[in-house]
Amino acid sequence: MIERIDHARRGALKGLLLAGIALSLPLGASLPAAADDLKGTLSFMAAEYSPKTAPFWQDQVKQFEAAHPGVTVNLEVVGWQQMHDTTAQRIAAGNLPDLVNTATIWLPEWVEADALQEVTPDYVSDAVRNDIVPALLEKGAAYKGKTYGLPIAAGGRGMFVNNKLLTDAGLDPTKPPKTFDELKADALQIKAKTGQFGFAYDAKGVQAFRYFGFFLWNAGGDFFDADGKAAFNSDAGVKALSFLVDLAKSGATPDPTGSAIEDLEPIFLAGRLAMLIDGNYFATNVQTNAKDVAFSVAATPTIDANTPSILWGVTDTLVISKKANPALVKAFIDQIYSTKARTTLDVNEGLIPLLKSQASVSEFANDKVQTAFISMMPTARFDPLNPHYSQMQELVKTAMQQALTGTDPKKALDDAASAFNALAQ
Amino acid sequence: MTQTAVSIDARPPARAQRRRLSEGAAAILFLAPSTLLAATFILYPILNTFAMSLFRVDQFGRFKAFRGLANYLGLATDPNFTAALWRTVVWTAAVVIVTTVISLFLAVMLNGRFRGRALARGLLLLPWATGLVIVGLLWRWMAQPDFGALGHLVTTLHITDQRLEWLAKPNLAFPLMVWIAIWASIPPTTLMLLAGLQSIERDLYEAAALDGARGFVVFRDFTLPLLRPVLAVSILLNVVFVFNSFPIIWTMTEGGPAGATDTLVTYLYKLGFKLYNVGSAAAVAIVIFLILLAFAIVHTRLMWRNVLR
Amino acid sequence: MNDAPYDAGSRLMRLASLALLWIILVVILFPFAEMISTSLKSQPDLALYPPVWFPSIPQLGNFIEVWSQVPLATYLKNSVIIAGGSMVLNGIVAIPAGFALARFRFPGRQSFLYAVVATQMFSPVVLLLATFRMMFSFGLLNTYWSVIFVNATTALPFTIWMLTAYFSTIPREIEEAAILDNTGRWRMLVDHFVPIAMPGIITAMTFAFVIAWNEFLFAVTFITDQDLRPLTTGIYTFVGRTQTLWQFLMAASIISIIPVFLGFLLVQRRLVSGLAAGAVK
Repeated sequence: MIERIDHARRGALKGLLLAGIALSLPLGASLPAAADDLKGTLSFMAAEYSPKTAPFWQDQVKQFEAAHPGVTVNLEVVGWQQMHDTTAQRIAAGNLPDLVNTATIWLPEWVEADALQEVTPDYVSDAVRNDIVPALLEKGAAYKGKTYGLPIAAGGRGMFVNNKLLTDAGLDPTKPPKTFDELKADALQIKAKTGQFGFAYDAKGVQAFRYFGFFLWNAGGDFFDADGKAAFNSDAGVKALSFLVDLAKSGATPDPTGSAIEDLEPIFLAGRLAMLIDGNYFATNVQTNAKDVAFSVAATPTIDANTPSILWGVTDTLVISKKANPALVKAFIDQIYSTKARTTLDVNEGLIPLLKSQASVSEFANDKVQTAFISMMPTARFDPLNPHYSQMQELVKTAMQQALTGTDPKKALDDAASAFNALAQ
Repeated sequence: MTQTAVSIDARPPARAQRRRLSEGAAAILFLAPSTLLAATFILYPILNTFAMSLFRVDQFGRFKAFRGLANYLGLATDPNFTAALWRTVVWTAAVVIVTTVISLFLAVMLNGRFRGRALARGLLLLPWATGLVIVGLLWRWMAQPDFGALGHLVTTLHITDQRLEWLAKPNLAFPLMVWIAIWASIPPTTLMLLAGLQSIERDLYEAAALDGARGFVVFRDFTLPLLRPVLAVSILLNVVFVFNSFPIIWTMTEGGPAGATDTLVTYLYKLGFKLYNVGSAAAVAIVIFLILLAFAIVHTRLMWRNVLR
Repeated sequence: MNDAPYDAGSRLMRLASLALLWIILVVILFPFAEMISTSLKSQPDLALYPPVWFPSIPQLGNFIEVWSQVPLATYLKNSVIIAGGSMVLNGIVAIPAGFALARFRFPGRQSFLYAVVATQMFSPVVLLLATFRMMFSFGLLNTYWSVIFVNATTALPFTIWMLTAYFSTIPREIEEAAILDNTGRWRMLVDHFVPIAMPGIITAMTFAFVIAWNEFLFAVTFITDQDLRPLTTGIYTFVGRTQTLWQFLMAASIISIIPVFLGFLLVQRRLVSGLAAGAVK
């Protein structure tokens, strides 16, 4: 359980959260009255998380237009696979929508392209700004000291454990592996005793770099150094990648080069995979579609017993275009960041609540897994922002695949690092 | 028809005669709409691609620095590029040759009479009615090692009990993807060839039969030569299309692992859309164009002397 | 239709060939059986191990639910408009072009045909950004016209080549008679050639329609308005960020194939005889 990571820290955090709730509840409770003299057009490009996304935003748009008859909202919904390129194209053409639901890792790119508006009280009311959990506001929207939007989605990553498979292999599900060595030993034991896969990771899809990243961070390394140059080929990185290759070679995992996370999740759901690192939203998936799989969520393993495990938090950001009309933006944000609207969106998409005022909402409070993630978010580590983050993702994935198909891990990472540094001039 | 003195002298009224344009001028008029369409919507992007290949270009399409032929030289020295180039040639040859052979067989069969022919023709068209994106997704689903139909099929037929990682091993993935491309290309190719067969006059067949020719010999010496122009068009269009084929390979393996199943287009895509080296990606596109142009010219010379009167 | 009138070899050969034909067809159709099977599975069914060929309780409801999961009817309507529009536009420009290339003598005939094919030698992936900027400056983003123009252009090599070949097989007598009547070339095309060439035209237009119906890349780039999305991009909604709903993806895909398949069956007879004279000199 995540609770086990650090009881003391969690206790203090709980206290802080409760205090925060007490203070912020009146603020989040009601919307400011709608101003009817608002006129104009607002364009909003939302990202598609699931089939529920579009109807939700269409509903929000209808509400907004009803409350402000002089305003028209142009809503576009774009799939995540196309979101980056679509945004880049719009910036290139000079018609970025007023509000865009982007991934935080791309924030530096759009800022460097001079396309985004910094957040000021003209664009975002203090009420909303203060309602957002401060850690998420900072990690989910700030770059180079300035805030360029608001976090619009948040999630965390944890290691999902199939209790039964561990038990069947003679292991204690309440004591999941804490170190790299323990993970390998346990995974092999599970494979030997139950015939099922002990662990799995993605080396094929967009998330591949994260699977290297978990082990990179937990070995004390990081993706970039202070100058923004590649640092993933450090000793820590080499150790992490070597460990991953070793694990795959041992046969305890499916071939990572053929598995993206969406190929691995069904295996866990079928009860044929003992441990899988995934986002908090996966919990809902398991509870709904694999009711007979009893699972728990653990911290990701670290290189040795002395290194603390890092929770990886991921956010998406709502950014504001330079050409946007402040009054319209402010009013729209007031509406979509109301407790009620946010809760609907979070529940629909399996997101972690961003607002302090949501802490007492029953949907989250009663979900043990979500609560555990929520409590850890303020101390989670988020993606380090770098204008060439996307290129890093691709290069790291290539390095992983090369290492898995025979290249020496150090060479693969060194090649990736020099390619990255060459790009990042 | 016989011409009398009267008809020879009866010329059309001068007014109508003036209106009749020369063939060249008329051609311009008739070709203008399609030229306009293509020039407007394809010419600018093509010229843009040529231009981009000479610069360093970012993901926003902004020209950053003039590189001359440096992008091309960079490709020539990249072993991944040369590997992808060779693989694309193999890919195209395999897909087009096998497709053509199978389609030829199917066309000949569907040309003859048998019960259920209309049904067979209709069913054959299904892979063509499905878009390539859905085709890619469907096959990717079937290639999933634990739940996919491919693995299940192999186990059911007792070929092997192993858990086959179709998409992780290039030796499995590449042939699989070649088959998928063949699968998707068979319907339109069969259609074209079938039509070609149908146009061969019945009397000509009978004349050949009278000569005592039979079966396969007739096909080889008689049908095939008459079919040559159709085959030529079909092969040309298939090569151009398959060489640039993207959705199948991208959906299945993204050209991986580590570029082991890359064709030029997936290599281009990663270069331009993942590493944001758009200038080099444009250079790859130009290289593809030059290769295909060369092929078109050689192919026409070899196969196609009398297609156009 | 001219079917082979002679006996294509011994009876055994004939039976063997027929058997091979049906075997090939079964192999080709196997993925569609899988498609149907998947579309009838429930979410837990999809995670079953070992997988089942056919779900124990076929979820026919998936085919009903899919219409409300995404606005499938809207997507269908949009696809029909886009593919139909592309086909019509392509026909308007390609028919005169094919006619001229087939019947007129002028320098540059071959070059023009080459130029048309050459446009397809560039990967759409690379042309995308520039085309997008163009559509933006024309104000055509999020309109049907953006994809209609691009699709019509993409199909040009196929349709112009086919129409050229088909028009060139029409007997000279018809043309000569028309010339003697002092018919203008346009009238000749419209009144005389088009009616005779109708099967070939239908064939070429079918290619144009199918190409437009299946187009994904440009549609996903130019159209982000939910109300204007065609089936190809709309169906992709089921490939979500955190989960892919395979059963609905397959159900929607089947639904998107049906109109085209029915269209095929309708024009099937004319399709084949149309391609017939069309492709040979």
